[in-house]
Amino acid sequence: MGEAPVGSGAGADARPGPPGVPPATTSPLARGAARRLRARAADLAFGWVALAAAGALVVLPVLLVIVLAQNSWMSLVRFGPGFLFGRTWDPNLAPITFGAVPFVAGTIETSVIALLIGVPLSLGAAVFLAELAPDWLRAPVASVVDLLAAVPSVVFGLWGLYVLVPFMRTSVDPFLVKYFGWSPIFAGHAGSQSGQSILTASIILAVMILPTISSVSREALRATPDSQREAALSLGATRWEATRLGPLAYARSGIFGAAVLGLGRAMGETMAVTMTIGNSNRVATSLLDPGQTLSSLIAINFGNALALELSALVELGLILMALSLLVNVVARLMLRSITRLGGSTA
Amino acid sequence: MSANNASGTNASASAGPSASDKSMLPKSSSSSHMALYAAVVIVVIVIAVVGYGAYAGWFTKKTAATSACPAGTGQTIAGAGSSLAAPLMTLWASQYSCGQLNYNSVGSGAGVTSLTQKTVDLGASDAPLSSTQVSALPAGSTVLTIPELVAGVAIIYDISGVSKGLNLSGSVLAGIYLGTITTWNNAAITSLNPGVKLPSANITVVERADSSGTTYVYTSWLSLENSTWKTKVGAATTVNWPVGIKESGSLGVAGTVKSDPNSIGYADLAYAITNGLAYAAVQNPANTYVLPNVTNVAEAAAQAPSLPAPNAEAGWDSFSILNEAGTSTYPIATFSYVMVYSDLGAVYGSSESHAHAQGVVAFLWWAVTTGQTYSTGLSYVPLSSNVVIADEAAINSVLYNGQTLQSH
Repeated sequence: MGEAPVGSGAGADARPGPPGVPPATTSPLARGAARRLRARAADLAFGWVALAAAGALVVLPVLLVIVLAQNSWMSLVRFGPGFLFGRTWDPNLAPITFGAVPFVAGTIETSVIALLIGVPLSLGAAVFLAELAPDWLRAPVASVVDLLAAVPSVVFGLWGLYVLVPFMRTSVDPFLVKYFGWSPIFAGHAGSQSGQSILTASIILAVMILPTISSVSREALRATPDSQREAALSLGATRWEATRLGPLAYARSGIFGAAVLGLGRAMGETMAVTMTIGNSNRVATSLLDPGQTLSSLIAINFGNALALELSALVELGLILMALSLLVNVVARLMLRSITRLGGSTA
Repeated sequence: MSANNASGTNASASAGPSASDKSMLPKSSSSSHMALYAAVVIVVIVIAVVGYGAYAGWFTKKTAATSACPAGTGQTIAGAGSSLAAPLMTLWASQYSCGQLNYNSVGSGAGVTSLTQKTVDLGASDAPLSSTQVSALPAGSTVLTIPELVAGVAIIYDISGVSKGLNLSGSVLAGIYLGTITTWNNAAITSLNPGVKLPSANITVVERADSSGTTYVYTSWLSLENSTWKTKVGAATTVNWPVGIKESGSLGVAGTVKSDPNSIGYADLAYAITNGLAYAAVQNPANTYVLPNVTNVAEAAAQAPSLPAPNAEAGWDSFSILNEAGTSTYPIATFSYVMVYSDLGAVYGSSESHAHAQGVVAFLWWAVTTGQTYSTGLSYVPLSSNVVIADEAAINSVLYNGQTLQSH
């Protein structure tokens, strides 16, 4: 009575409905057609939602640039390209003068040195965890390294201020000045003995980007097929040679990508840098001099800047964004040449 | 147990995990874990409650009379700005029983910016409003400048073997901050301090990174003392310091001076005393070297010129008590000001209730009257009676949508 005829050839479609619910009155054919229509609608909806999400991610940076340009318009018009080459940041001069050189220099210096210190350390940790560590040691060490990534940057800043800065001031800086002070990059100037310097900030940044680079590199190394290692070992390579010829070569592009990720984080880091770099608005010629980075200056002055100074700070933000973009573009180009030499394209 | 096992495995078809399966699951939901979680949650709640209590002043003894509060009791007043005034503001917050003051020590410049953006009721600044700040104010609004304390800016230093009271003059300090004097045993410093053994170490110069009223006061004084400083750097809340490292807030400067040997900095006297830092005896116009303390700073305040009108905004620019006359007068003295809008209803709009406006005004009245009794304990100077009278007139003039709020 109203039930689907059992022998209508619908097969599994002819199940009775749940108890208490009147059985479907439509034919299995119509039910199937309805199901296909629902499926197509669902697929369409899914497609649109995914497109919207991707579109939002594309629109967001464009909006960012537009808002930054809008808010820095006063400064862009007033200083023009001279802003990029100006070395003075003085709101009290007549005429008022703002320039980006000391901060761009500081950002580049700290990020590059952080990479120079951080990449070998991270890579060493990644190789240890992926290749050399015994199983019982791997998991704890890996989780401690990943825990570093969860520490907020302010905590790193406090550690830097209370532990690293005095250590640099009393032990490392005098040592460097004594033995390497003849070179311009370790020269000890009159104002550079406080321990707050480009070098200290770079060390903190290196510690902060360590977990990022290490975990991404570890994944890249783990993705190396065993055949690579085995082939090297079978040809008589030592442990180090096998690691070098096998995973390290194969995961080259992954490791490079990890380094770029770390560089991105180092360039944008604010709080930890503010507390350890000395905040001096001058181009630092020696690594032991205090300096200033783009994000640190913006963070300090944003709350109290008005009018033209505010506009100049936003322009610094625009420059920082352009710098990050440039780094990413260059990294992509370099990545293409690396992968062309072989290895995974991960 | 084995009998249970057997029956468990026999009946395991659709009865969930059997006992043997259970042994493979992590033993995570045993009662000991539940007890641990409960203990952690309780500890977190206790810490949160105690922390909130400390913040809300449950544990500080309120010595202020809790008798009749004026209209506008129980309001929360938001203030931000000067770190020079912060110690006294914090004490006022814990002692004011007719409302709750929340004060954020973010620096004078940020305090005025917060007031401009209407995120606070009171902006505290040691520097009077500059013309840039005035032009950034909301259209049609007027800000009243109300002095609420007098303080001295101490020159703090940390030299091993040298205690409080090193003699320093304006030209020497200008030389140090310009970078022309780089070592402590420079002839200019040793000549002022015969008998004091100064090291040959480099001077670590510390200054403020953020927009600071203390910087404004100190650089104004240096501009008076040294013409090179005046032309090269000038006086403002943020200047282009020729040398030195910069820290955020007076607390940052005091902390860095305390931890760095052979360093020098400038901060409110209260920070020098609470941090146990040595501070200098500064040369005043009468050629005497004077240590900052309540008496010596009070002598500067006693000679204050006549106050500009409270609504003069940028008209307070030239008002200063630097380098006042007298043999025992401390030369680097300053008023610290509270800025408040003259018509709270008109500026803040519908979010500002009449009761809240009354609360703001009631707190200001308390601060310039009863609040002054707390000043000397923190090495600030209480306002003199003529300044209090001018302040009271200013507070009485604060309106709410055109109506007076206070009428004492």
